[in-house]
Amino acid sequence: MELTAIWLTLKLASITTLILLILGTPLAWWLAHSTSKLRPAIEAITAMPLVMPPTVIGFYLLLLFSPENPIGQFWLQATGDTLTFSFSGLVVASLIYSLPFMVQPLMNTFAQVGKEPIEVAYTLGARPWDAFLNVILPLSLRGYITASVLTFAHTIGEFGVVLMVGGNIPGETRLVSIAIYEEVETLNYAQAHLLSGILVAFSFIVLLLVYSTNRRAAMRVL
Amino acid sequence: MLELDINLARDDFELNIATVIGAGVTAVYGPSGSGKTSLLKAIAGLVPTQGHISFMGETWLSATQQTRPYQSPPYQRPVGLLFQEDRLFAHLNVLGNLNFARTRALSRKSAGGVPQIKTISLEAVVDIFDLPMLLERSVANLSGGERRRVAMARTLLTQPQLLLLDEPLSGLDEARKREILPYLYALSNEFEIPTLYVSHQLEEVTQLCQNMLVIADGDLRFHGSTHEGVNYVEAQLNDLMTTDLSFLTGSVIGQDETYHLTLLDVAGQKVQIPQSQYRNLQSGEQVTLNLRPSDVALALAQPKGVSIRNVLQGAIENISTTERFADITLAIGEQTLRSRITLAAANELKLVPGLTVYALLKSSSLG
Repeated sequence: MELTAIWLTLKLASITTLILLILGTPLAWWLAHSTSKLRPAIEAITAMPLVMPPTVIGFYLLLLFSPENPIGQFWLQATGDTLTFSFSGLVVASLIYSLPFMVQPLMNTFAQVGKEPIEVAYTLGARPWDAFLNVILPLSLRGYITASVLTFAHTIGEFGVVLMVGGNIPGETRLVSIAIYEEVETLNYAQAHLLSGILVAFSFIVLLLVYSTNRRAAMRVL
Repeated sequence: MLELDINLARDDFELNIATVIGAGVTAVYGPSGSGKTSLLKAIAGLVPTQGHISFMGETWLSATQQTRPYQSPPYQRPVGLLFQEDRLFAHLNVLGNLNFARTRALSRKSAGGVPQIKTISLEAVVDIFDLPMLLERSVANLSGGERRRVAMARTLLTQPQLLLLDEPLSGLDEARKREILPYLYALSNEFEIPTLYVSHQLEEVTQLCQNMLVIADGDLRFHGSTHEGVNYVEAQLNDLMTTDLSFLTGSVIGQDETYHLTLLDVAGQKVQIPQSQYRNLQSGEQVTLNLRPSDVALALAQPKGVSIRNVLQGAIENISTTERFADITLAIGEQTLRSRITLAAANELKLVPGLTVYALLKSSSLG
């Protein structure tokens, strides 16, 4: 049933967005404010998934996740499950693949907000966490909305990476995009039309949302 | 009170200041780019600094090559820093901005070791800075003067024991300056908080500050009373002066309550000025007069039958001429006074160095 694929896709996108919100915030902050010589290199690495073919990422991740590799082996011993052809493998792959969609809008927002509000907050007696939660976060709210929406939407639209890493296991790794591919392969055009139509409508609504809330930040990414 | 011995190095700039700053309002004067704002940021703990800072016996910074560096974080220093650009929080309304400072000041008070003299209440600042009508406003809908008042109120609500004001009158036109000036007097007089007042305008310094630091190229050039400081700036830093005003120092000898005048002794000669709206000047107090050279006329004899009440006798020290004007420097006792008259007038009066003349002060301002 295709509802399973839709549910799995939404679950993957939600988990990926949540984790990237937490991981992406410090990284974007550092990229926005650091004067380190390493900054351009880290920025380039963060942006790599934007330009690389998904199959290349998928191919390398497949190798890394394999139980013959230390990373895959560690995961197998720690969780009793493989990273390849599993939902957790999809999550890790999505984190890497969607990273720039979270980090770049946040980085732009942090740079725009600048360091001044933090300085003011400090002189008004706010400790670092207090200053972040009560000053930087509300001032960056639109950037967070843009980044979350883009990350969520981009994860839903993934195909190459998830096909390479996850395969096509119903209820585990069979996402909407993969389901469409399979329906087309088996000449089941009616189902392919339905799912594709849902994705087209979804993408349009998401982009409409982004452009109408925060035009500038979105333009820098797309 | 505030002991400084700091070194702050930036890419192409180094600030070295070692002095002890006392109570009252102390001006930090110097040309743009001389390190005035950096000094305030170092005191507030916002920039990495070398050296030593202590305030009322409490060490804020101790970072030398020999010792392990200690720098207390900015949020633990009982410092109220008024930024030049106001920097109100855009996501909060006026009351939200004030409460941000007020609620955090309570926790900071217990963290710092220095006892609080008196608590500044929200009601008090709202009253003093005339904010009742503004409280629910978004900060985006405030005028320049209103923003500055809110920023000043917010700074006070941190319950500062040391106020750092970074050019609080910059970026305001003359009308706004007159609007803000009384509040600045209130800031320093009503709350009696030691204050560092950064400015590159000598007029403001003479109006608001008792003491003065002069900084140029990152070095401390002078630290003393304002009237000595003004003389120092006129004598030493002529090229760095950002004003064409001339200054005279006098001491208060009395008040004329009938006509609301303050009587001054300037180098043994009497001068009357309108009483200050903001300050009660005590006899013996030193004040500095700001004079525009074009408002200083010259006469060869003590004039009679003119409306001008202030006439000072002096000797011409120097005359420099342009196509239209003559700029004349007079010695009034130990002090100098500058006058600008037309070249035609100067020639007609046959002014030469050494000649004794009478300077007519058309207007004189004092904050």
